[in-house]
Parts: sequence; C-alpha cells; structure tokens
Amino acid sequence: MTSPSVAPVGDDNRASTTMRAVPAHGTAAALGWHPTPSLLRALFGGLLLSGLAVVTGRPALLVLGVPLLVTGLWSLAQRPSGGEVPVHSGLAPDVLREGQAGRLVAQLDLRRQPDALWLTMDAVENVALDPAPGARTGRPGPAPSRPVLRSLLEPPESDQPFTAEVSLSITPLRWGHHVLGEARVGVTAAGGGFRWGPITLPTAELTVLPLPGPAETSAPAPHPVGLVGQHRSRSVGEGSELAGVRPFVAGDRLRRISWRASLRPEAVRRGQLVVAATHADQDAGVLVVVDAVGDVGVSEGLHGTSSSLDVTVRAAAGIVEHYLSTGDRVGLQVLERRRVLTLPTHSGALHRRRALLMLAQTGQTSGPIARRLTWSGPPHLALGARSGSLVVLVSPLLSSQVLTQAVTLSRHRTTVVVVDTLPTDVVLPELGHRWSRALAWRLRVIEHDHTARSLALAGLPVVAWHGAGSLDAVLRVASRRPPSLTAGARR
Amino acid sequence: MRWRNALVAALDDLSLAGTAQRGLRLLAVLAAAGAWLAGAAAGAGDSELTLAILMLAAAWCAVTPDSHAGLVVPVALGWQWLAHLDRTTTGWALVAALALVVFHAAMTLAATAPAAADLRSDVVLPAAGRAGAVAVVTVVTWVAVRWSPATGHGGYPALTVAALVLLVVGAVLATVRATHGPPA
Repeated sequence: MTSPSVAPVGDDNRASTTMRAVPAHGTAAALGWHPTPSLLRALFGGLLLSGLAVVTGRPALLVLGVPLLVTGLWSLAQRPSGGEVPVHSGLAPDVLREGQAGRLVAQLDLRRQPDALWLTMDAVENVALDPAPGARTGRPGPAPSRPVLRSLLEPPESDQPFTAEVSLSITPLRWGHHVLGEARVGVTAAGGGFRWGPITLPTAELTVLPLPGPAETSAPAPHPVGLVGQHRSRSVGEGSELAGVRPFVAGDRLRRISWRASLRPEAVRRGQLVVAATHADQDAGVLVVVDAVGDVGVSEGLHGTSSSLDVTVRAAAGIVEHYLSTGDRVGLQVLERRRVLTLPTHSGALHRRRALLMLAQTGQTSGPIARRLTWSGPPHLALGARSGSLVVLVSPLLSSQVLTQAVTLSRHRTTVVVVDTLPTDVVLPELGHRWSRALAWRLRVIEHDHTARSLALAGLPVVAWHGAGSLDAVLRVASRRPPSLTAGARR
Repeated sequence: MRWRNALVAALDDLSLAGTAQRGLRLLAVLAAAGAWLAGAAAGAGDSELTLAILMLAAAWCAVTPDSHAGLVVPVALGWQWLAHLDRTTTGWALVAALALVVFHAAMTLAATAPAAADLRSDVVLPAAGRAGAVAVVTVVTWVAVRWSPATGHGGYPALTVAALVLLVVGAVLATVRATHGPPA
C-alpha cells in the first residue's frame, strides 16, 4: 500500500499543518460531481442543431452543431467517478506574528487530474490575502500517462489516486484573535463539464502575536534580587565580573585562588593565599503592566497608523522580550475595563511565548488561549512581584484608575516606571463633525498631559515610548537610588 | 427581485475579476458577434432581432458565465441559419462554427473558477488545446459536408450517416465508463 502523492497548487513554503477533515457542508447537489451549464449547453445545443440539420436537411446547421456535440460527448466520456471527495483543511501555522505569512491549505483526494482546483476566501479586516482577491486556482496532479483515446475508454479504477493541494497565503496585519472569512473549495473536471462543490470549509481562527517594538536598553534593571541572571549585584558573591582580591578563607573554592596574586611578595610574606572576589550575577523581577482600559484612534494594521492600544501592546511585547532575553523573570498583567489577564513571573522561551499569547488576547473576548489564561475580576494591580522589583507600566495615560493604583504600588518599595504610549498621530473614527473630533482629541491630549504631570509630581518617572533606549535614562536614575528611596518611601 | 440581486452579485464578482477572466468574457462577446456577422455575410443580414437576442445573451453570459443563458447563443445562431439562409453550405458556415467554438470555450474556461481566481497557464493551455482539437473536428465536418454529394431530393445521405455515427460513438463513449464503474 503506497501513500498517495501530494500535488500542490500555490505557495511552496510548507509549514507544518494540522489538517482537519472537513464535514459535509452545502447543498446535496454540491456534495457530488454534477454537470455544469457548460456541459448542458454543449449537449443540448449540439443535439438541437444536429437534429435540425438532419430533419431539415441543412448541412450548415450540422457544421454549427457538431463542435458543441463533440465537446459535450468528450466531457461526458471523461466524467469523474465517485461522488465523495474527502477534503482536509487547516492553517499552517495557526499562530502567527504580525506581518508573518501563513497558509490556508485544502487537500482533496482525487482520482484523475482535474481541469482546475480552486480555493477562495472572503476578505476580513486586518488580514492580507495573496493573491489579493482571496482566490487561487491551479491544475494539480500527475500528468496523464496514457493517450487521450485510451484514457477515454479505460475504467475509472485504473486511475491512480492522489492528493491535490491548494493554498492561499494569509498575512495578518494586526495582533489579536482573528476569525477568518468564509473559505470555499471546488473542483472542475472533464473539460469544464463536471464540477464538485463548492463546499464551505470550517471557519479558521488565527491568533496573531504582536510584533514586539524594539525595546533594547543598555541600562541595568534597578535592584536585582534573584540568584541568576545578567545584572551585576551590588554585593559580592558567585559571578563572573571581578570585584577585587581578598585573603582565602575557609569555604572558598580552590578554583577561585588567584595564584598570580598569591605569589606577590607581600602575600608570600604573610603566608596567605589570595582569591578573586566577584560580583554576584543576579536576575531582576520585572512586572510589565499593560493599561488596556481604553483605546484611542483607529488601527490601520502593521503598515498604517496605530491606535493607542496597538502602541501599548507592541511596546509591552518589546519590553517583555528584552528582559526575558537577558535571563530575567518577567510577569505580565493586562488591565482591561472589566477583567485582568495575569501571567505569573517566570523566565524562559516558553514563558516568552505565553506572554505574547496573552498580549494577543488583549481586548479579545473569544479564543481558546484567552479562556485558558484569564480570570475575571476588577481592574486593579495585583502585585505579583517581590518588593524591590521593577514594575513597568505601559499606558497611554488616559485611565486615572490604573494610574492611581500605580502610585499606590510605588509606595511599597517597588520601582515603578511609566511608559507613555499615546501616539502623536492618530486617525480618529469618523464620528460627529470634524471640528468636534478635533476638539475631543484636544481634550484628550490636555487630560493626558495633566496626568503625566501629576505622575511626575508623585515621583513616578514617565518616559515617552520611542522604541529602543526609551527606558535608559529612567532606569539609570532608578539604579542609583537605594531600594528604600522609592517614590512613596521618600514621602 | 431575485434576478436583480443575482445581477448585482454577478457585477460585484465581475469587478473582482482578473485580466484573464475579463479577457475571456470579452472574447466570448466578440465571438458571438463574429458568429452573427458570418451569418450576415452569408446572406442573413436582415436578422436584426436575432442579433439583439444574441448580444443580450452574450452580455448576460459575460457577466454570469456559469449560467444557462449561454444556451441561447447556439439556438439563436441556429435560427439565423435556419430562417434566413437557404440550404447552401458556404465558407461562412465554418467561420460561424469556429466562432461558436471560441464562444463556448471562453465561457467554459471563465466558469471553471470564480471570477476572482487567477487563471494560470496550466489551466488555460489544456483548455485551449481542447478547443483546438474541437476546431479541427469542425473543419473536418465542414469539408465533409461541403463536398458530400446531395441526392436529388435535397437530402444529404452522408450528412445523416455522419450524424448517426457521431451519436453512436458518443453514446458508446458516455456509457463505457459507467459499465466499468466500481460496484455500489
């Protein structure tokens, strides 16, 4: 028993696909092979003209009718066998990043090379399809190995079964959970004389991870407290960066002995071994808090203007990626109007994916990942970080409720940094008059500036988000302060 | 209002059609017009009503190629040759028949996939080859008919025999696969 070959149509990038069998959708007529209007036109038109030619003795009518009749009979002789065509469909992969291309794939088990296999999908917002109208056609399958006349006369079971594949390229332009448009697949065979389908494929759902904004920072995280990581501790301990030399004491590791320093005359005179002391390498506990209570502006996807929530989510993704890449432990809280999404502090690549998945669920009410990761509750900051941790609040500074809690948090020996993500150029929704929209935006900006000033007065550093290096200045200042001198403690 | 909604939906589809699809639909309309002109050149120039019906049907087909409106075109052409011309078989009959082949092939290819789908060469070329083979059969038929001897009663025995042979061959081809099909 050999497995059938797969003949593709469409893109060649073969990501692993979880294919699902497609249940029967559509009308009863659509589930089997059925004749097309083209076949009926050829047969009826050809028979009518040929019949009239014979009955009325008009040979010109036979010249008109014979080509149609030949075409119809040719299609009839090549008609496909069997009614059922098993279909499998799926997304490859079903989790993408913004701007990353995936594929919607449909596979059909056929017995004979069709004229065309096609796949269409209705357009949805923030998802780009390639080809652009959302339709692709092709003629998959092995080339016929027999002469035409022989293939006409041979029984259908002599045809080798094969799996035909057709795919559409899908590129999401905005993070979140997307329900893709209705997709249909169909096959035309026998010179356009017979058609199978179209059938509607199961609705595909796509989770799109935010594209992290560049968030690299050269400043260290203030007051790291863990035992592993890349940040240099103020205290001496196990690490790699040299802090100095000191006399050997009981308990020191032998490999720490600096033989070069021990051979110096003063060390020899005292009869002491000298060991190299290092700064302890420590990790930082970072809690990234996303203020998703409101959203200002219209999101036009990856290549258009961004809403405030777009900027917030992408900035948070960048900050999370940066700290996780340096070995720190990162927690995440997404504060929405009616719920809080919480991801406990952890580190590692898997945690990075979990964090991005959670950010993709921001503002989404559906999707399996949202259901797994979330719990409902009032939008307040539940501090999962230890005292002394760094809290990065990513906010467009429009929700006084969240910001009040941030100030409260800063009074618990925690370094809080506020990242301002209100975009400077927003596209406002087409509501009301133009002057009223401009006025509303102006009021928003005034409110935002007032909030930023209030936070600064309360001792919380506020930095505008502009990508890599945004946090450098405030983190350096925070690092120089002792942990006890946080904003709240100083008051 | 169903036809109106269908027309609006079809026009929406047409607006999404690619270059190949639009070209095929234009070709179908031109082929239908060409078939009528061939009849007119043969002496049926006074069949304006036929022309109107033909062009209406061809335009409808161009918008909705996957419809039964295409059947009107061969019927209208048959009427033109039956009602307005005598029994002679001129070279214009071959031109009209070839135009009809082009019309049918273009409509069939346009209906192969939705309007928005791109028609690639691996779909178009086999269809063109098929249409070419049918065109060869058409020429052979015209040659046979043109030079077959007529009886004194105005009949064409060769024509009748050829039509019957064609029907028998078609019936055999159509049933042979059914009789060899897998058991239910």
